[in-house]
Amino acid sequence: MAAGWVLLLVLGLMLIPGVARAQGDEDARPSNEQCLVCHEEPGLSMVLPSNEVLPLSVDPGILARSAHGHDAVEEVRCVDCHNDLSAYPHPPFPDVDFRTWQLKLSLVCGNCHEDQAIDRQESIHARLIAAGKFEAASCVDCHGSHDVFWVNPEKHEVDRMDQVDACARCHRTIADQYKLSVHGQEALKGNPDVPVCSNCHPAHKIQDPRSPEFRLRSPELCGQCHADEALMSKYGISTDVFDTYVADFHGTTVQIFEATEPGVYTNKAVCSDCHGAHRILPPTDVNSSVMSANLVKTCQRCHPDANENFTESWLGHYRPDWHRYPIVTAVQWFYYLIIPVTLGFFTLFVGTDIFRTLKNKRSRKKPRPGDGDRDSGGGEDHA
Amino acid sequence: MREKLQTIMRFGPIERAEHLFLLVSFTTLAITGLVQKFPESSLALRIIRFLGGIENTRTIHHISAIVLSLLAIFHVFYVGYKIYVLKRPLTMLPGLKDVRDAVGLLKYNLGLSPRPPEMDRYNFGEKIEYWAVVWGTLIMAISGYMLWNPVLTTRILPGEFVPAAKMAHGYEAILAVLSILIWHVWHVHIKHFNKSIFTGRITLEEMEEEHALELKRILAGEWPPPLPPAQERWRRAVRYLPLAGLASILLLIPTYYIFTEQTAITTLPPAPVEKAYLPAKPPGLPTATPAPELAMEIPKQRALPSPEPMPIASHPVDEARAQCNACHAAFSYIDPAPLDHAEYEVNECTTCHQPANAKEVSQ
Repeated sequence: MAAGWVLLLVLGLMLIPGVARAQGDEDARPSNEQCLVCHEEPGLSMVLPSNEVLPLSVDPGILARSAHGHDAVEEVRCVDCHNDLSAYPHPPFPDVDFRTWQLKLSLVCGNCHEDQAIDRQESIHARLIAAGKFEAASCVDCHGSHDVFWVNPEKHEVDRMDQVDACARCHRTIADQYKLSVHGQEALKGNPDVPVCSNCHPAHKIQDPRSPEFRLRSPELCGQCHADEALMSKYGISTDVFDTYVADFHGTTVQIFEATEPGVYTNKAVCSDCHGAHRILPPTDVNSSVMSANLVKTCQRCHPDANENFTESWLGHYRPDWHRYPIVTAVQWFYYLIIPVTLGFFTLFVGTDIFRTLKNKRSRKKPRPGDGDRDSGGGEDHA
Repeated sequence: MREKLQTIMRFGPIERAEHLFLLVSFTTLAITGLVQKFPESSLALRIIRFLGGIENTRTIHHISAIVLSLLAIFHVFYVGYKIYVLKRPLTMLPGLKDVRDAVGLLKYNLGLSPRPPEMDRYNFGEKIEYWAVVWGTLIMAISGYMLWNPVLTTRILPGEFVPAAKMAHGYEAILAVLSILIWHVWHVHIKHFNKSIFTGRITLEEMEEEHALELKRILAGEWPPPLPPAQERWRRAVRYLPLAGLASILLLIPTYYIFTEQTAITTLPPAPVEKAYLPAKPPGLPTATPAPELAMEIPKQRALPSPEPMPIASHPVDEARAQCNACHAAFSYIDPAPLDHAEYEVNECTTCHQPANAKEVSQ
């Protein structure tokens, strides 16, 4: 065993310059087999300047099964990513800790995946890393490195929960909450209609959900599905939820803020303030924050002095009708009646007045009020 | 006498001031309110931006509402003063004559009657407008205060009154603004610009056309009716003014509480999730190297270099491989030299590191 390893190592070392010379510039890259001559050996590791131990062994099977392996559109070689290691002996490991080096190395993903890398530059993860929080996710933290897996559902069947699990590696509490939600429960059953993490926090341009922009835009995010008639009818959910929200005080204010002051926080409620963000339960669930018995507590989070009556001032995403909200509907019909009647009378009267005024102007005669006293009165005084 | 009287006094300084306050507060309320009713309009958004955002717009709306409310309270007591102390006749009360005048003017406009009707101090058009303002202000004030103070409102009334108030506030606003645009603008701006509410004076020609009956009375010396004697006025004022003042204060106290309701918290709603970042394990070493879990467990502290020098077991030390640090430098990938070896010279390696078994290696 040891002898075989030594032989391979020696052979490999001798091969590198030979192959490079023989095949010209285009294929100057060492092949994966050449790298694996050494790195296939289990148990290889090295000590980094930071005193961390870096395992150096690579399982060729994992490489082959990855998205960059046998099924890849283009052949991806070790040195395409490890582009500092195409020569042997390898240059010394830079004087940084492992994570710093990993973050730097994961920038090579953008060499091929340019759009995603550009999108990622605006993401909260990239911003956090730039601000020195190195624990924020880089490409390899979600996608894996040697075992990089398929994420494009158009090309390969993907279990959507894999993605939740990828996020859960860092956001475990949130993922746990999500899995309890009406969305998460359905996603666990394989329902393709419900959102997983990336439907609301799109990879790779993932926004800071605490930012005012995200807050102001979040109702539209929910509306993507909840205003979709075809999708919602499958589950008997009303698509009025978005329109009735926008028509009401909270929604109108949020809409105005989004249009006029997109960078400013508004404390007016968005969907998630009442329904929750990750653990969203159906309003029929006893634990739901919007279930009628729990509503007063939910309102009190922002309106501390609110009482039971106060909760009824929210129309529960319904359009007012005689059956459900008779007072509101009565007021509505009162104005449906009185506005046209009043304005109709005004318009009729003013219309005849305009007609008469124009006619008098043309004929230059202006009958004065009163009956027969025009000639004997002071009419001529002003003529 | 008529030749000298080109204009006559129609409105005193208090009426003119009242109109000015009404004009400013109504216009401000209409603009800052309608932009909230039609937020999808780009003009509305431009106005909101100009006013410094929606929160500012609402503050302006609220301040104007206070001005209009104070004006309304003042007006009620001022009218009371005019009626009780000055014993002025109730010229603004609508009556059957107003219906007759309206029909008469409509007939005249349509050519069914040769002359317009003779009208009194306030003609039916002005009465319609005055009472429309009274009705509108009442509805807008009540519904507006309910919207401004939903917590207080729902302590007294069922919750449904708040959205009902919102419905009323919005539609009444449209009714009021359109009424002003049709009725008021036509009568006193377009038909002819009646400046008497600003200057206080009206021309005889306008009087003849719109208030012929009043003009006749003035010319006959019957109008305005004489004030009560000074003593009587003084007696009534002493009775009326303290009562009116007390009533105003009683009205202002609840108004103050209405203005100071703390409807909602001023901060963002409490965050739904307290801790977003809670990794199952720290990020770091590459995934899918043989045993990532094992790799995690390797202690970060490097083992101390063993006191026994490692024998050279993997390859012979020949001419081609004499430069030990070509492969085994401190930070290299294959059996790197410990960090404390950094200062050693290449030819010193074999001082400690001897080929393990010279025979085996040389094969």
